[in-house]
Amino acid sequence: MHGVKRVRQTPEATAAAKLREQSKIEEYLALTADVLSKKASGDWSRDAFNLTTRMLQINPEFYTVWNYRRNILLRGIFPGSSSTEINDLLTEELSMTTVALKMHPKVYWIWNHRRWCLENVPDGPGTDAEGDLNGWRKSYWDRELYVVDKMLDADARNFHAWPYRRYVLASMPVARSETAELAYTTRKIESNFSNFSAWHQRTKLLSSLWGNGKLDYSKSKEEEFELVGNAMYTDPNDQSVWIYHRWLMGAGDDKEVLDREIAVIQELLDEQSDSKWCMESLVYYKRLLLKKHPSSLDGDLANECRRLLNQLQVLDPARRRRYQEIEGVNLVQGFSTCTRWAYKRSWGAEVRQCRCCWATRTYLAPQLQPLLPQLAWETGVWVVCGRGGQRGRWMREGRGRTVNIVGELDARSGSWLMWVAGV
Amino acid sequence: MVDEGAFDIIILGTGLTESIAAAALSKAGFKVAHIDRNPYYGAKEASLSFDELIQWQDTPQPGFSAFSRSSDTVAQPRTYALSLAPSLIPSTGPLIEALVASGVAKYGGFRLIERVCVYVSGAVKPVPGSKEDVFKNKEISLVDKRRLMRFLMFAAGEFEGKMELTGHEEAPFPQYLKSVFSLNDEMVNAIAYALAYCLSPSEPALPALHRLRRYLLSAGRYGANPFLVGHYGSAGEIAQGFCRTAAVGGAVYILGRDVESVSASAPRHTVRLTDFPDPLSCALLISSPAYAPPGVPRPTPVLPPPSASAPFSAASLTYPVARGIAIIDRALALGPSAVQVPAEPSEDAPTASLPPALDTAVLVFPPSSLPGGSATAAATVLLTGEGTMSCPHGKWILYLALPLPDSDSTGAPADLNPETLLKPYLDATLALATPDGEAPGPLTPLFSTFYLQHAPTHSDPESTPSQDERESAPSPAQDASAPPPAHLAPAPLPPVLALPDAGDAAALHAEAVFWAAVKLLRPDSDQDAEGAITGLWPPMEERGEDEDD
Amino acid sequence: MSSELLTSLHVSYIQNLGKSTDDLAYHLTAHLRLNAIYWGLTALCIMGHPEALDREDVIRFVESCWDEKAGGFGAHPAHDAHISTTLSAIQILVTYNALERLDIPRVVKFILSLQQPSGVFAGDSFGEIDTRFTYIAINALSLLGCLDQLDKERTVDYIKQCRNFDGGFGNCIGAESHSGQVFVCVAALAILDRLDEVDSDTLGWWLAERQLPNGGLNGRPEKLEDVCYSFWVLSALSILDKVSWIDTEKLTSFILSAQVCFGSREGWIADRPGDMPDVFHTFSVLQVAKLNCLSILGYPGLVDLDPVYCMPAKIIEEKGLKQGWKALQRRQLK
Repeated sequence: MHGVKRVRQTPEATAAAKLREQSKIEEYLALTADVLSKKASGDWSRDAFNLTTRMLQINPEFYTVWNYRRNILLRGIFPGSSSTEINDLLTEELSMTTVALKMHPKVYWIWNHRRWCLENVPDGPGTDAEGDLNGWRKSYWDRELYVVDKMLDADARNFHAWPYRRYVLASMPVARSETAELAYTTRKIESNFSNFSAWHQRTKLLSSLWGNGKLDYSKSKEEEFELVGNAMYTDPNDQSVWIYHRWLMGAGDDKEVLDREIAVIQELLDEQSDSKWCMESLVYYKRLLLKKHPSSLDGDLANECRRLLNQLQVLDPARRRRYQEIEGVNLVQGFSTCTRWAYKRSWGAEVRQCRCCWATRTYLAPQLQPLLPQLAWETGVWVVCGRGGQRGRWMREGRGRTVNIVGELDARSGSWLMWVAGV
Repeated sequence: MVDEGAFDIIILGTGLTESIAAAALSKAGFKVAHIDRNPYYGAKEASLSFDELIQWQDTPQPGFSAFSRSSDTVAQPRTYALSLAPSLIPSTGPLIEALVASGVAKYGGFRLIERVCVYVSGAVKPVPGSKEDVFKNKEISLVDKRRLMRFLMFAAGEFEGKMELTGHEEAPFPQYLKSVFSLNDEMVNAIAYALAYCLSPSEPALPALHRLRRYLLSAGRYGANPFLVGHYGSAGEIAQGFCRTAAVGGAVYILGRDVESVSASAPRHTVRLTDFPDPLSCALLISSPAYAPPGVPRPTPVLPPPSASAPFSAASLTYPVARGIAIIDRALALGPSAVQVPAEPSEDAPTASLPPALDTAVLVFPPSSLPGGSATAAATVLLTGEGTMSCPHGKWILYLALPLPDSDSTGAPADLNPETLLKPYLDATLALATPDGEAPGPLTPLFSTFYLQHAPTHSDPESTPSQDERESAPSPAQDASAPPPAHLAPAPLPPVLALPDAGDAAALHAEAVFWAAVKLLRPDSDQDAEGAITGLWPPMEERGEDEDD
Repeated sequence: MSSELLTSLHVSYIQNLGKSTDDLAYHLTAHLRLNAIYWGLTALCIMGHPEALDREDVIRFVESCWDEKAGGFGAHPAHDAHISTTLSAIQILVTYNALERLDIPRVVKFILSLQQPSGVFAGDSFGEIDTRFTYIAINALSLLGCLDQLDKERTVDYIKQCRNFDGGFGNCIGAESHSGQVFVCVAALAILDRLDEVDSDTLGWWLAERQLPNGGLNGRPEKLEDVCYSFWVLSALSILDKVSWIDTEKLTSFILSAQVCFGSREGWIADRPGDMPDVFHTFSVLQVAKLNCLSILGYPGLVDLDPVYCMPAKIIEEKGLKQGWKALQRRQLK
């Protein structure tokens, strides 16, 4: 098992265990043969059904037997049963799988079987006219949410339980409000904010709540910044928090927010000068500033990024190469901060080259894009290293030096924006 | 023929220390007789019904003085279990280990402390003791959160030899927090008095850090809070639980009988009890400090081995303490109960509804936090409600304690009035009662009592032996050829310890007594031999081989 | 604890797997048998010992798992067909260059029948959906040379919807990023030549942050490391050409330290150093996950693994299916 520590056993204990094991194997194989032969002969009887119960209690991962069990229900048992009887059968199925889930919370097949049960709940107990056509379904799904709550109480990160929770929420005949679910994630986060699963759930809920206007976007967003800021200051080593913060910042279109959050993180870094995540995030957000708001920048951002990237290489050597690449691609030359651009047109493209450093920005008109891979420029040749699509990396060889060029398609103008830097 | 009066060991006194030792020795196979002059278990740690408490106060009690009380009656007096030694049990530590390893935990119920608050300028504030508390707290500024967390991480980790500690080991703890971790006054107060439970501002940093680390690492074992309190008055009930385990192991119990005489004729003691027909004899006598049996020389005091991380590095403290007990009939507004009431009823969820109001809490008054209060010591108020089975429905017991470091001496400080000392604290606490539409105005307790607890004077039997007495103690041999039979006594506990430490201190003392007894009675016991005593508690019966293998 | 790869032990361990019939766990994992054989065979290929299992025996066993009713393979004779075991069967047959023993049109029909209107694939007729199954379908169709029969747009569209802001992918729309799902989605996109749908800087960042101080990789933020996750993360990094973004030496020594020599279970690999190897993992993934990691990491003496298809690189190259992944330079045996 995952996480089970090794313990040495005495030879006697091993031998005794072996004997017990032999009889268990014989029993198990006989049961398996029995079930599979009944299945092969198309036996949809109650007896066969009971046999699958025994089998699955021993081995809940035997997917073929789960399939067989559902087929027995569908072909052998449901057809002769009333809605009430079907309902009772499904109740039993669900309590059997509840027991199984407590023991095996990560077995796919058990979760699948519950899904199947819930999707096969008959109409009732009343008729449409009586208004409680969904009565059974409603109580099942309500109860199911409670079961998921319990599963997430036992393991707040259970990777099966979270998507299942979303599935339950989406399937309930009477939908639970998204604000109630948001409050649930708040509780989960308050009890342990390393629970990224809960933060993730929050990103989905908030996107929806902001989109449909049920939450005031700017007010709610500020509250999120406050929440995540509290977590950040409480434990700056927790990744969950920083990843969520990055989601909250989005594309960085709001310069005011970018500036403010950069200041918040800088203040935290001043207090906790060895925080890798502060530095990493500062680099990311400052680069975002460079990229999104190049017109109104003070000149030193690129240098600050470079300084932080150098610190990061020391502090977090495992990811050193990544920091080096960020530095190399578009910061070493600091071209984004350059204001002294020289313009020239070449091959139908507008080229801006900085006078003080070697940085170049090239805008390629849309009609030139098919030529991109073959595009010759001055005496050098651009070689495509990346793949097609909307992003790519080109390398230029020539004149004894190599440069990195990152091309990005500007969605608005349809032109290629090419970032160039020497290595 | 078996001599029914012949024992390996006779233990005098059923305080927590003696009771734990009795259970361990009985389980180790020694024949034990356990005697108490009181008709109840627990001695100075007993849990008493209301009437028993009144009776106890009306009888001279060495180490206690200056009793005052508001009345002699209360409704349903028998439903109260009032503790003479109110304290908390850390979720990890010697006492909880003893409770679990001995099986005594199964006899008793326990309740988690729901809330710890600190009193700050007329209001109570929750004490942030964990990452989650810090995260949720809306009153602490972001930078302070970072500083607080940095300190808590430091205190929960291996701080020995760390730069932040070196050279500051002896610095007063609050001062240390301020200068090294840049914490503000409010947080210093919360940490020093409500997380580390310092008694006074002069406590040195190192022992306070050791204590704090144990508490921090206790959190999460049974719930968010690191501390438990036992049902039925905690310490007394727990002592009784250990006695019960000792009895299951074959120990004989005689309560309500005092020692008339002890005669030492090597190699055995003969103990005669008042109103008890037959004398008892034993090879080893263990007497609690409250017993000074006539006819035998002073016992050899037994102290646990010194350790930096011992729960009571301040063991040498002889501060007297002013104590108060009050019974109230309205809940205190210390914030919401931390116990989650299940949102949706279901067959899986417990059906019994939990009491809605806060049932267990600790309120700490740092020095100088209250006009008219002490500037040199922290006062604590322990609140226990019906959930602890120690009082009837709708009632709560408040236990107040204020150490008196300015009168650091043995004996009763004659000039101190515990009621005057504690009144401001009680009033401040009562002012926190939840508003009640039917009975507006300040809350009046149904009953209150105040008294002093102090180290016994030298004339009292249980005073700590002085250095020369210790040295001379083991050798008053009347007969050089036959040394007198062994006589041990656990060293007395200080009158006041940090709220979570009294039980752990008793458990450590008991362990020391246990090993001293084993060494005396089985001097040749080979540690590796079959059936040798290798631990304080024999391993619990293993459950059958795991069927899921 | 060994710091060197115990190749011979691993080989004999895999050879003996089929003989562990006196172990209850062997029987309890019959539902994984075909997958286990694929993993074992691939491991042997990586170690340069494809001959260690009898080719004809294995192929016959594969054939015995055929589910005639469904038109796919089950994990074991008389077990129901499932997309996952069907891929294992195909991979084994491809490895042995024995595709002529397969009714390709029927298998392709089975696989395509599992695609849902949303574009995602189900595992079997009962309809559990997961991006894992999408990858499996694409991998299988590609190996069979039938990728042209797939509705690629619909398929890619679903994968796109599983992409999260952190660059990673979940097992269905709305699900949290998880390194296993990241691997399957990235590999699926690589086979479809649609890596442009990956935000490789963001995903590279997320993947690189999976490495913990002990060198191992975890599957999600704030979780423990594990050899399996190490493999998924490393494969994804390799496809994105970003293996250098983590500390490969530390990862290598983490993986080697997870190798245990213990009683009769010598050669087993635990999920993390010091843990008991568990049957499920040993049978299925761990052994190979570890070897695959080491192969991608350029460990000496191993054969290249194709991280996209999770098969020996040479076989994929010969079929002309190689995508633009990059492993580390293979080091020489000292």
